[in-house]
Amino acid sequence: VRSYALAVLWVAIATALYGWQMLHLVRDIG
Amino acid sequence: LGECILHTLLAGVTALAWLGLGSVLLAPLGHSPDRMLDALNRIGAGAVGFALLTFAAGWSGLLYPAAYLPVFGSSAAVGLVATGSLLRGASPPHFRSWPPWQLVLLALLGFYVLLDILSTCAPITSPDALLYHAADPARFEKDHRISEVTWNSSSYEPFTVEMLVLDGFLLWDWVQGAFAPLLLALASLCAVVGAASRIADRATALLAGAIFFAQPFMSWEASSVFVEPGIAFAVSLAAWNLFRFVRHDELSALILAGVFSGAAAGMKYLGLIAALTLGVAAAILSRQRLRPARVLAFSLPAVAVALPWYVKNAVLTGNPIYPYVFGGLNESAAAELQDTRDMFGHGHSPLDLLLLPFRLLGDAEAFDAGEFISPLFLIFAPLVFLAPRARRPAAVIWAGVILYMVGWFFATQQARFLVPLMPVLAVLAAVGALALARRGEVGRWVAAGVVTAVLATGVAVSSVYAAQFVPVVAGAESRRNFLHEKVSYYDGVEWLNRHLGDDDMLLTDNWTLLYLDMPYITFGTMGDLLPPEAGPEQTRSFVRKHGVTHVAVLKGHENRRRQVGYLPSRLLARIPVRAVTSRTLAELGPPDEMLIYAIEGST
Repeated sequence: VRSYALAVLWVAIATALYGWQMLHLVRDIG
Repeated sequence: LGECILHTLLAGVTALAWLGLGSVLLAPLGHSPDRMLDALNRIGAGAVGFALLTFAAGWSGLLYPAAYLPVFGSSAAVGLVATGSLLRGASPPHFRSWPPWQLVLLALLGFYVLLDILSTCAPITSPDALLYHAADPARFEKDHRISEVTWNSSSYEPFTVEMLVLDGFLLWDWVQGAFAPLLLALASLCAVVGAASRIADRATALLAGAIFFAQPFMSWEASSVFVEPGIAFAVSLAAWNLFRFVRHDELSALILAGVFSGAAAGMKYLGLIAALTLGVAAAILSRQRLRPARVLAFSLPAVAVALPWYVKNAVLTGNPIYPYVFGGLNESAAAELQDTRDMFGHGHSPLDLLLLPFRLLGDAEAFDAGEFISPLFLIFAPLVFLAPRARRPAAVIWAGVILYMVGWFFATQQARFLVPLMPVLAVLAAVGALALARRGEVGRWVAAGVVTAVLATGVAVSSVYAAQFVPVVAGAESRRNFLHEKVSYYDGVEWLNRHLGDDDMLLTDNWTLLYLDMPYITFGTMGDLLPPEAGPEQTRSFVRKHGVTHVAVLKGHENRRRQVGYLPSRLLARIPVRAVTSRTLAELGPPDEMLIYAIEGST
């Protein structure tokens, strides 16, 4: 259960980081 | 558009020719029981075979369509027969039984294939291709022989992929040459999907294929005459054959793993590092069966396939891996090369190493277009450890990945050089994502949601990239107008082509070399031939030695203008020019001028 929770947490953090990068990309293009 | 279709058909015939030659070359090894691996092994071996034949023909002065086409045609005929025997008895896939999400992934891959074909059909405009990936093969084709390109140290890298580009030039034109790296990218996609389907199942295979190929970074790689798709193909075939050896103890698979590791090392120095990493991973995975004969079965073919490139460098420069480790560049060029390599990334401290995964996800622009790499590799590949059966092999594979990443971190942090890892990471990520999805309701929604969002973002970004090529490929924009928009300093190139001919010799500091029609030489990409600080004597002797009749330099390059001042020269023209800083966003650098001089007294 612990590794499952950690995995979900990692996916959430990593996706948030990528989302942040994509927001910057869109802003730069705009 | 008709031309694009013809290019695509000829690319198909090229794949048949690779398959045909590979079938002949691999006949002594017998057939692999895995039909898809067998076909890809033959295609890979055939591609390497064609590259080495072209290399040999080039040094013998035989680069003529009349020499190439008979070999190409007969290999394609053998390939056609081989295709028949490979397909005999094979049952077509039953798409109706596939779950909808798998059909969507398949359609997505089809969309990317079309997008990449379209982008490849446009005239070549990627800066590295204009400098050497396409410019050097074009020069060899024109001279009907391979010669030493002394001004660009990158031209001493192993050139397997550039030889295949040259084959395309001999077959038809430059665009046909650009299809060779695309074919290698498609072949690596097949290898990723095939290997994943053998390791796990169809779901994993399709997801791995999408993670690997359905990303803007791979569209850019596959359509820009780059070498990395070739390395990805070689690495994925080497890894798949190693997997077969470990699982089934097939000696022929071990030999083929060696062949393709050597092929990777024959494509770029980077491939050599990838091949060494593979060798270490192979040794660890099969440590209980490690015997001297088996080590030789892997390493001998690897060395034999890669050796010609390193021997050539040793003969020409005395350094098999020129200009690295044992040197050979002048001091300022070596310093500039190092500066260029250090320019990428965020730094080399232990803290930077620790922050690397987070920066690759959230702040990757500094890694030279790193923001266009799919985050799915990093998000899901660590989750492979959720799958109990995968844990042990995954630990060894991850050790290899980390070993390569550390080397990359300290050498040069360019995103492109991570491509050799992508086939393996894509499979790990697909296993990881599906393991998460199978662990529970939350995991399923998270995995599906993140994969969908990232793939949708990728489609949007890749479409923006490919859209710039649509008008010229569809015939709505002229080739000339397109080149004006996408190629740095193209106005200057056009002026030179109008006024200089085959009897002239141009000396230039411009990196847009592919479209120059006249004989040319450069100061050296890093000032390799004439350092920027060189004085009057050295400058005059350099110009005399190479029979320079004209010089074209940018007004902003003050050192080069100073050196022109040492020469008996007359200013012929000042052409307003702009550098293209982003093709996709149509961004230009500040206005500059190309100053064109005639050397007095030259003939």
